Amino acid sequence: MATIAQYVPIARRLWPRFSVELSAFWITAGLMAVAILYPATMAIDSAFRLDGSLSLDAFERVLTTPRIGRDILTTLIFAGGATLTASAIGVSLAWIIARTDVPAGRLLEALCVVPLFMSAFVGAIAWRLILVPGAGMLSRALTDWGFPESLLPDVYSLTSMCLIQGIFYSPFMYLYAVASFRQMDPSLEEVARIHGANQWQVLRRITLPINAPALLSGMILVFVFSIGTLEIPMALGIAGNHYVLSTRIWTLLNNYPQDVPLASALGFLAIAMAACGIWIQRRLLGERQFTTVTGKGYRARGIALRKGKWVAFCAVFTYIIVAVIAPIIVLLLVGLQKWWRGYFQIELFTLDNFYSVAFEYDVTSRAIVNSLIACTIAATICVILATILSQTKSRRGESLMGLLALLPLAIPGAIFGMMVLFAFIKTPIYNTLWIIIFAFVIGNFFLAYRTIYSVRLSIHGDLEQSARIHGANWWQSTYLILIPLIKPGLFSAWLMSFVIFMREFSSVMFLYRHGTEVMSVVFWILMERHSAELAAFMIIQVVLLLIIMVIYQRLNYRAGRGVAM
Amino acid sequence: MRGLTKRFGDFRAVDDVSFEVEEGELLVLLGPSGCGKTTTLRCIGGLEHPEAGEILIEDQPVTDAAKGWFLQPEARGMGMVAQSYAIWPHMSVYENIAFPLRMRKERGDVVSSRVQEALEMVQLGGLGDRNATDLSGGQQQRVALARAIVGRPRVLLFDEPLSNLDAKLREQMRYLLKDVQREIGITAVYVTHDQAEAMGLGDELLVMNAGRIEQRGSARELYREPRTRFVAEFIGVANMLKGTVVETPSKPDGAVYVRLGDDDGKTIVKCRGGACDLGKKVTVLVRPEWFEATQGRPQSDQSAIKGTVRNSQYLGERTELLVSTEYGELRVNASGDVAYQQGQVVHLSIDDDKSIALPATA
Repeated sequence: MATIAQYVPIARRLWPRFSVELSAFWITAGLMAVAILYPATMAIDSAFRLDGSLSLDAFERVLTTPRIGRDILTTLIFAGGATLTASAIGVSLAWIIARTDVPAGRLLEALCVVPLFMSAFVGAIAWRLILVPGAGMLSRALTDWGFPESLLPDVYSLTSMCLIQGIFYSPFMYLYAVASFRQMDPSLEEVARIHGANQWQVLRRITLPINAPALLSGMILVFVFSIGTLEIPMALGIAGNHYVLSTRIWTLLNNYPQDVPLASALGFLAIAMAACGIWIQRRLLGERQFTTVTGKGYRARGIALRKGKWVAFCAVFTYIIVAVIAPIIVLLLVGLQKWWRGYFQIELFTLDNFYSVAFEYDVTSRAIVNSLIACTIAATICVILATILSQTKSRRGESLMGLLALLPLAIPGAIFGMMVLFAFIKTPIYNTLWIIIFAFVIGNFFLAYRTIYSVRLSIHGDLEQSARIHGANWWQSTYLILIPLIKPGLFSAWLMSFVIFMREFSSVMFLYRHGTEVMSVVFWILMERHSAELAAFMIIQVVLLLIIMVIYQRLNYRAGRGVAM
Repeated sequence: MRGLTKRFGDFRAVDDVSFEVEEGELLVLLGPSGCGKTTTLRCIGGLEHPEAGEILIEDQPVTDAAKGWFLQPEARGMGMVAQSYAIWPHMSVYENIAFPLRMRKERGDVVSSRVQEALEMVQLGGLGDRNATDLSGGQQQRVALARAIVGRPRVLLFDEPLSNLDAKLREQMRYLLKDVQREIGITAVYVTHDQAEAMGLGDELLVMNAGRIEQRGSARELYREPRTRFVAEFIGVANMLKGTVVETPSKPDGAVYVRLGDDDGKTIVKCRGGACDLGKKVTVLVRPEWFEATQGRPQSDQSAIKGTVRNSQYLGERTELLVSTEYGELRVNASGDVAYQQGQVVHLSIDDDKSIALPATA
């Protein structure tokens, strides 16, 4: 007969609820939930409070102030126009690169995503230097040749804002579209041609509708980004007196007297607009989640454009000139001048601007150090959190994570900055770099999570489980088996987070104080000073980011994944 | 089609291929993967631009590389069933099938009656409203077939349409395909690598290898009278026996005698041989069922090959034997009535009306 003692180990195994893996997940997920929900409640609190008591006054003022009505309209036009521009450009680029035999496709593919690694603020400033009346490189040259000044495009107009925002956010659309086009079975298009549709009909009736889910996801991303961005609205909009909600909120909080309730109420309005966008997307999509992926690799059969392929090449290359080459060249030329008169003069050549922003001027040199510190710490935290959270294999855990990771995405960047500000304004964290690091991690965590999660999915659970069976505990199996396997994924998630934090502008504009400026904030500060120093400083950031981009693309190229975000 | 050549870089996927398809005929392009059969089909459909050669439909050129003519695929009036079915996931079954008619701007009532007719023909009546992606693989294949025939195309193209189906469905679809093709009397080109499928379906088979045509003929011709070693081995099971021609026929159609094995080999077999020269190295093709296995040495046939049974599989109506002989291992189909044991000695006599000598180099 068996003794009681023999049963003990079995009884213990019937009690498996506690495991390091699960508790690490739930503790981290709990912290993340608090970190997202606490700032949101603080913002709700300030929106409904007037002199310490509950009030709807702020919302009343939203409805009754005509200026606010105009801001809402401007925001919608700006975000909508930018989304349409980005979609048109991004989808065209993706179609040319993924579905045709355009020459030098590989090179174009690598260049098309470069704007992701540059701040849109940089692009806006560069295009201002090209087009600004009187001192712009192009406008000056055109007027010198007798081009009437009245016909020059106005860089401060709402149209220009939409176009420039669209141009610099096209790579997001491009990435969504190119991935979707690539996994589409080319015979879907070929059969349509055989059955009587011409190239244009195939595009309109087959290719675009089939890829609609991915394209709509990309569009909604650009739309929400555009509602919450401060980059273009501050670089161009304020000078042209085109205020959008995010710039209005920023002005309300940074001009004396502050109007906190109205700013919060506008914040919720912006969130509501983003939510509307997401709702419309879901409605349009309905049940149509096409599975065009059949799991087998498709032969890359490019559509033969024949003579048209050089037209396609020129189209893509024009985009690269507008979004990458021209801005960098202009900034470089301006940065190398003592002062800028609208054209490059060899006698005004100097390297002083670079020297002074890097070493002499305390705000800029401090910002470089601050940026490197904050981005390094934030990227590291992101990767660690994402690794822990991508561990779970439970359905409930996964859906919770999906929700948590998407929540900051639905909150436009500037609004998120404002919320974090309200959450920490009365704590010692305010006035330190940590508040910026917090905003970086929580606001952009989803990108790192998605990268690591997809790498995690590709690694079969058996690999770790067999380590456990052969005697390793959870920590050992993670450290010895899992981490080495997902290391390339972790590194590329780290690099990607670092780049995104380096160029993050909208949320940090609410969070910096004297002494905690990061590089993107200094763009704004330097805008008041003369443009040569600003250009030199931007070039420093662009070069830094491009170096990281090259490492990132190399890494992903070796892993055979191309550029994926 | 004449002199069709398609290159991918330096690789000639299709190399100077010419053939004709009679109206209403189903021609099967058969060959191993990478032999150029799919590329040939895609050239006919206008999905590839050949570097040389011309393609004519009803005597009208649709592609003429020399003159630089190329008719766009949508203007060729064809139908196609793709390997992956290529059912558009954003359309209903009805809209999928109606697509070729809509492209031609047919009237609404014409569209609906033709689509219904096509649905009936592929035995999918009543499923028109379904979402195309809710259907099973076999049903999707039928939708693809209905879509291909609904516009009454001049030529129907099949690109390995059955390769994604399981064995049982494949057989059903084979009959359906042939019925439908016969019923509407359409000219069709069918690409496959499955020789059983090809033999069952095609009026005419065209075996391709390395971008060239090896042989064209009916299934029966290809099986019984292959012209090259490649065709012999690709279609059916083949025993290839090396040998030298020792006696040529006096009459043109007469038999040749071949000494099997080396020059001092003692077995001399009689077989059909066409134009074989004396002293030439040849391989003799003997299908498994062209052997007759006997326990003792048959009196009538001095040239019987002696061997031992290495393995046997009883399959009901026949027993498949693997026999070790001095000319290598031979596959033999023996009667199912006799039991064979491993290690048993058997004598194999060859049916000399059927066995055929092929040039050794081919």
